[in-house]
Order: sequence, then C-alpha cells, then structure tokens
Amino acid sequence: MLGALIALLCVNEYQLSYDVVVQDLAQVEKLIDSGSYELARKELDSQPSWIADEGLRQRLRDLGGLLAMRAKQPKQSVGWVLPHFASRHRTNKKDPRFTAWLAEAYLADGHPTQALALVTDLANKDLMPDAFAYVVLAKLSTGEARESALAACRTRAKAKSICVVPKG
Amino acid sequence: MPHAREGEVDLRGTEGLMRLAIACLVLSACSDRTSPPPPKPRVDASDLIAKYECTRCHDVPGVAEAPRDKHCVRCHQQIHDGTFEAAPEHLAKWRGRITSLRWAPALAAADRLRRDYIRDFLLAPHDVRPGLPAEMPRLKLSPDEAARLAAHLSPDDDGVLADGDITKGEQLFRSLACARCHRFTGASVDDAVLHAAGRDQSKPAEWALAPDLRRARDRIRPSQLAAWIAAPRGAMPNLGVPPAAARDLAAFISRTPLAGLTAPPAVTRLPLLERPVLWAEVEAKVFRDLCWHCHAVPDYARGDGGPGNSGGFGYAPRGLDVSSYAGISSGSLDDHGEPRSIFATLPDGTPRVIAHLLARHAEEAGAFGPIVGMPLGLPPLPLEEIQLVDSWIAQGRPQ
Repeated sequence: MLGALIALLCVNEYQLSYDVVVQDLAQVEKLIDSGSYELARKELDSQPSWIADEGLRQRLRDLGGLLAMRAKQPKQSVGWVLPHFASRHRTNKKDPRFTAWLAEAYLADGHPTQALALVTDLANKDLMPDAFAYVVLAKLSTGEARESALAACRTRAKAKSICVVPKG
Repeated sequence: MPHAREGEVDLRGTEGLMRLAIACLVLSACSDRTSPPPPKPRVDASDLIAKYECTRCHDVPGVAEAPRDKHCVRCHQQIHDGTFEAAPEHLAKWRGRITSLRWAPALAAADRLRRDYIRDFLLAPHDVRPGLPAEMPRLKLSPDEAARLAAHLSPDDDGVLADGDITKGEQLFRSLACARCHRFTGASVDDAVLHAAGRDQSKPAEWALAPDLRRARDRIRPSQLAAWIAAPRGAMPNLGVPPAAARDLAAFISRTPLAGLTAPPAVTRLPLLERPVLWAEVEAKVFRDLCWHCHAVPDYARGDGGPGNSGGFGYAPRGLDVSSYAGISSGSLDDHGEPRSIFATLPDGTPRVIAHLLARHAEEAGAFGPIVGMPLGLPPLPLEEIQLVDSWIAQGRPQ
C-alpha cells in the first residue's frame, strides 16, 4: 500500500485518496457520528487485525471502544473500554476528546460522579468535543441543566436521534 | 575655439597632458581605494534558522532543506512538475487547486538586501511579491533575533548608488517591459494590466517571484542594485543589460518619484447571516479548504499534524485540529499549554478564531497586534468567509 509508506502532511488529501486504512477509519467515524452503529461495526470488523502505524492502531481501538459504549453492547463485553480510555486520557490529558471519551466510559462502567466531573469541566470551558459529550451531561443532569444539555446535543449532533435520553 | 564646459577637463596642450596624467594617477589611486573589499564573515545565526525553521520554505545556503513532510513548497512543486508519486488523475485534480506555495525565494540572494530592511521585514512582514500568494509568515522574533538574522543574511551593508541617468533608465524600463513581471506601485511606469498579462508566460516562477519595485530603494543595498540588474541571480532572468544601462535603470528605480498609496479601508466584521449555517459548509469552504494544512490530526496525516498542531516556525504546539467537528470543538492550547476554546469571546466580544482571521487583514494593512493573523503567511480570508464562520459560531456551531 503506497499510502502507508509515505508520510505526508501537506497533502492530507493524499492520505484520504490513497491510504485504505485512513479511508476506512474516517468512514467508521462518520457512521458512528450519524448513529449507524451496525454499519460502523461491520466496517470496523473488516479492518486488518494489525496495522503498522501506531497512531492509526490506537485510533482503531478508540473507535471500537466508542462503538461498544454507544451501541449498548452487553456490559461484560465492554470491560476493556474504561481501562483503555483511562490509559488514552493519561497520555492525551490536554485533548478534550479523550476527556469526553473517558467520561463516557466512566458512565458506561457505572461511575457517574467521575463522569459528571469531567464533562462539567469541559462544558464550563466550552470544550465539549461533540454531541455525545452532551448526551453524557444530559444523562447525569436534571431539570434545566438537562434540557440545556439536550438542546446543545441536538444543535451539535449529526444525527438528532442520539439526543434521546430517557428521563432518569 | 570653444572652451571646455563646466565639469569637463580641457586636455589640449602640454598643461592639458599634465593634467591628464595627474588625473590618471588620481583615478588609479581612487580605483584602488574603491575596489570591493573582501566580503565580511557572516554572523552566525544557525540557531535562529533552526528555531524558526527557515528551511521549511527557503533554500538556505549550507543548511539541509526540511524533510518533504514539513516542507511548505516541495510537494506542490512535485505535483506540478509531475514527479509526485500519485495517479495522473489525482495529480491533475490537485494541480488545478494548488496556486499557493509553489515557490519561495532562496536566501542565497538575500545578501543584496539592506540589513536594516531585513530586520524590519522580519519583525513586520509585508507583501513583497504581488505574484506570489504566500508571504513571509509573521514570526515571534525578538528585535535582537531579527537583527542577528539580518546580519547573517546580509553581512555587508555599505555602498552608494552608482550614478545613472534616470530618463534613460525609464526608457530602458519600458523597452525591456520590466512591468511584465514587476509591479512598481506608485511609479509612472506601473502597469497592472501588462503585469497581469505576464502571468501567462512560460516561466511562471520568474513572474511569481518578481518583487514590487516600490520598495527596492529601501530594500536593496545601493551598491548592489545596478550589479544585480546586470548580473542577477536566482529567479530574475539575465536580460544582458550592460553595466552602464544597469546604472541608468538602477537610478530610475531608486529615484523616480512615487505617488503615495491610499490606506486600505479599516476592516470590520460583516453582519451575521440570518440563514442557517451548518458545519458541512464551514468545513468545506474554510477549514478543510485551507486551515487543516497546518492544523491537522497527526494520526491521519501520519506526520506531526502540522505546525499549527504540534508547533513550528518557532511557535509552541497549539494542538489545534480543524479537520473534524470534534477536533475544532476541542480547542487549542494556550500560552501555558492548557486547552481553551477557540470560540471563547475576547474582551471586545469577538470569538478568538474570528479575531485571528481579522488580524490577518490588519497585518496586511501594516498593523501588528498581539493576536497573530491567520492564515499565517497567506492572504487574508475574504470577509464573506469570516462572516460564514462568525455566523456558524453565533448559531451554536450546528452540525
């Protein structure tokens, strides 16, 4: 695969045109963003089990973790997700995406207090990376705060259907 | 018998021969005194060249060029000359899009420039070459650093302009059709139409790299201008101008009167759009079209994410990735390395990202404030595109 051999920053489109793995991962991300979890799972499962590039390999695992949480898989099959995102957060502390994913993992694993602390801090700094972070906030909030989080989710979501949160 | 005119030497008769002999002796002595001194050794600035990554864009004598994944023009050049490893259909598509960053001036010829000009230019860059969309990026150089780089690039800073005939120089300027490559804003010979027509010539680099001659009198060492015209280096073609004619041309370029330039109108934000603006439109027209070249995601770019992500040109890493909605929503790193929203409003109510985009307009007008203008070293975004981003932010950044 030619694309995997050449590191090019200035022609990012080059990667999207030539690198099959990058194209596939970008497609999985789009599917997850739009709530098409089954299709995303199929696409993800078709990826090779070993990818030479460390960054892409980690990203592939991130997507597997997000899909496991968002597609509501049985809890026993998502046990690896919290340790994974805790580890990713440790090495990417300044990137709000990893903070939000860790919050999502805390919530999925039954640690609402930790999850709320993380997303509240992000929301206060206007650093919520996407609508999914607002879903976490809405799930852990009540009253006006909950409605406000849901409204922000609907504005920022690619698929508004992800913003349906059962009243807790 | 007519007398010699004022300023001429009457060489008739014995007295005249003696005067000629004396004059020859004086001239010979003067010639010895005015022969060019050996070039001064260059001030070392290798640490600054490394710190500010000059080789990302420029060929710097004695310094290895930046690797291709960090180089600002090399990929574009290879795409245009067909040596880039990609399918012909992709090359054709990219060629149609790539207009910026195809050439950058080599620094080997910077020794013809005035040292104080280089120092001031580094601290407050302006558009030198109207045919080149990209400009020198604004760097966070201290005045001392700028002075040391200038002394490195131009070790000699002396000399006077050789005498020449301005009228003949103007005639030469016209007959050589210099305006086909050079703008000369404010001069009577400036010809925007001829200059625009010159773009289509077979040597696009020569046209693109040709500077506006308005600044030549402040920019080029007086002793070098005529010599440069007679024997240019770099992109400037050698037109075979004899030394005497080069002196006339240099005199014209340096002394012809220049009309003042009208100050550009003050830039203000356009009113917010009332129609819905979604991420897809903002992404396609602004962030994915231009900004992500420097503010990308390292994983996908398989590089460092660009200087606007992992640092470069002397700037600290900002961690900004505008290649996705989640990326841009995750903000950038502040001066202390802490994440901050790029949409947060500054004290005057302007969102930070909008302030950066507007600052580029101000820089083009010569105003350099504390906020660095974006896109760095490229023309400002049209106000309509800034309005689009502004409206999207005001609407809550909908996807």
